[in-house]
Amino acid sequence: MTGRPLAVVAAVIVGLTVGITLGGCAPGTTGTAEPQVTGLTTEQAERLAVTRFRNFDAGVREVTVTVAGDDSGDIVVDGWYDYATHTGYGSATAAGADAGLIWWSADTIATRDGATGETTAPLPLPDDGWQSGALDPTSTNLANALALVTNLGSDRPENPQLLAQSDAAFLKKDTIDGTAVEVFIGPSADGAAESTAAADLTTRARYWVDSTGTLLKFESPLGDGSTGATATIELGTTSGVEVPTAVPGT
Amino acid sequence: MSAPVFRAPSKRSRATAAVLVASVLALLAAGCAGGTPQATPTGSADVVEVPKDAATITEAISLVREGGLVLVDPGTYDESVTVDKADVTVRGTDRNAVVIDGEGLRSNGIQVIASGVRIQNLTVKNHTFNGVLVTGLHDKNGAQAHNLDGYQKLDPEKFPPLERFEVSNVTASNNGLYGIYAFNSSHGVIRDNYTSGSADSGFYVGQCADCDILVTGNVAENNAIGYENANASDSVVITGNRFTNNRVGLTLLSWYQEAYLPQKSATVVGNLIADNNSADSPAQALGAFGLGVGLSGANSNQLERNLIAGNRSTGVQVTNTEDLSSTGNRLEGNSFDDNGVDVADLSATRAPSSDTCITGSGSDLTVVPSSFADSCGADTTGGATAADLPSLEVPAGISFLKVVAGPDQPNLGGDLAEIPAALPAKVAMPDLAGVAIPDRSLLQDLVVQQ
Repeated sequence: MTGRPLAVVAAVIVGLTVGITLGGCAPGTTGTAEPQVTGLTTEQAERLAVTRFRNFDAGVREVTVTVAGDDSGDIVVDGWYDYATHTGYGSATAAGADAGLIWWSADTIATRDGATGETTAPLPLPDDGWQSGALDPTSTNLANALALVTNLGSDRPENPQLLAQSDAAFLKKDTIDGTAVEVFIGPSADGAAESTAAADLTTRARYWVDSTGTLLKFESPLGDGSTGATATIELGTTSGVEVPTAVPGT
Repeated sequence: MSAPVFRAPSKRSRATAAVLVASVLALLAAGCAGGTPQATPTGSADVVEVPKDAATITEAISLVREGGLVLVDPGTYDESVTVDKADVTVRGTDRNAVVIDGEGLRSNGIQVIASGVRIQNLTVKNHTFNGVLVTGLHDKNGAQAHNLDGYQKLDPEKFPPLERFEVSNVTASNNGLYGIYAFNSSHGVIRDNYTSGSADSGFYVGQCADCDILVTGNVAENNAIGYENANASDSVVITGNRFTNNRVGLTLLSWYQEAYLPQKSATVVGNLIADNNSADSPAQALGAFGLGVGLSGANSNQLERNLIAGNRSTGVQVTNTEDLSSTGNRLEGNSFDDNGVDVADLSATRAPSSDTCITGSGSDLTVVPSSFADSCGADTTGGATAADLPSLEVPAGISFLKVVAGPDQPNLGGDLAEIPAALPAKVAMPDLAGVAIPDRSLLQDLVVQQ
């Protein structure tokens, strides 16, 4: 099939994933709800607390962003994100078809329509055919997902004490490409503990984190969570690729 | 198929990235403070050697008696140590080879929450917050201090200052907040230490009145800020230090909505505060760069006989902290050389500086605005703006874990196996009368060679 315009793909998603206000200070454990989760140990809180800093420390990471549940089928962006300069670049497919190139920063997005005929985004970037503007994460599922990529980096670690006190939780052990990871559920917006009801857990971001605190995968509902659209962000090894910081085509 | 594949990017609104943080890791958790820490069991040993007598430093602290000595042999220790027993000395036998390594995961290397404790002759590195934290504020969650998210304002009645401490011959490298941090503590000495690669400051003395704290013989380089002094007043003596090649050399400031406001009456004599233009350092939180000394809501401080040189923006910058003015500061007999501007007043008109006396530094001093040179005994109506200072390209900050390590540092002298006498109730302050203006060679053999 031919590529479907992402303009059509773009849904009416407004708002962001936020949690439910709940109080209390004890580490959360589930009652009857599924999935079973437990509060974070000190070591788990330390690993989760450095995940965003680890990305800044790594600089450029390979990223694959998959938006699922969008009205026009899955959108995949495959490329790189530089957490030191906060710029990303990759090629996009929509519903399996080549859709073009995309560059983004914390506040700007540039797109270049049309198939490139290559399996990975070409470097250096093509000079022409770009259009750019503000990145509004409330505008589309894809913009929301790209902004989430940006927000997975920070030049300082979080406070593990507060994470341990919050409703962030350990879900399960897993492996990604042979690397042992733990899967954590991030804190809800107000961060208070005991927010482990199944209905709430499904609205919160999940982190696949290895023993060094490196994030290998991230998953989050998009928008207010009501549409079922989700973003999955897979993060690969540190890469020698240089992502240009200037908005392409300008 | 000419239809645009991508939706035209929105031009109507700036993306509210801040909002997104809520869906990631932002925490607005209420603090859950209260209670007291579990006391370490009373030990009986005069001296506990690690790893000979105890596998870990933490275990050694449980075995040693109050006033005893924990002597640590070379090795890498992957533990976060809490010293909660009075008058204990934790001492490495080789400063450069006894390493407490946070591996970029653990929060603090050593936390001191008991009085009379010495930390000596070892290295603390790669912690997400502090290398060494000395604090009178602690609860069931452990040591606490300002600048940790969720920290509640210090209540001095509930948590009186920790008394008597010493941190000496410690190397604190690549820590995510402060290298050596004394918070809500008094009667202490911070001597002959080296800090680099701190994402906030190499040294921090904060939140005390009548502090009685001596900071001397230290080196700070490649930190966002070399030495920071917030709401620490009356008897903080900072002398004979080298604060070079940071983004900011030294700050004396009032930290608003914090205990012990406003800051006043620190003494800064005979220090080298130079070349604070480091690109090999984490970004300063407010983007500052090329600044020797920053005085913000700072009062009646004495800055005398310092060499303040090669700071590409400003040698000494005076400003307000919100509605708190900087008043009564004395800059006497300092040597200024090759700064972008030597002295600048950037105070806002709502909280203008007053009575800043600049004397004995020669006639070719550059002062912005020029009227500021005559403000001794007088009020001002507000200062210049950043646009009146040299325009600098501020290099991007680097990860605190990636800042270059410093050279090996000198060991503590004397018999390292000897138990020291208890720290005195008051610090023996040096006589500053004979302290001369240092030159650029001060402690030069201890820094990364350029």
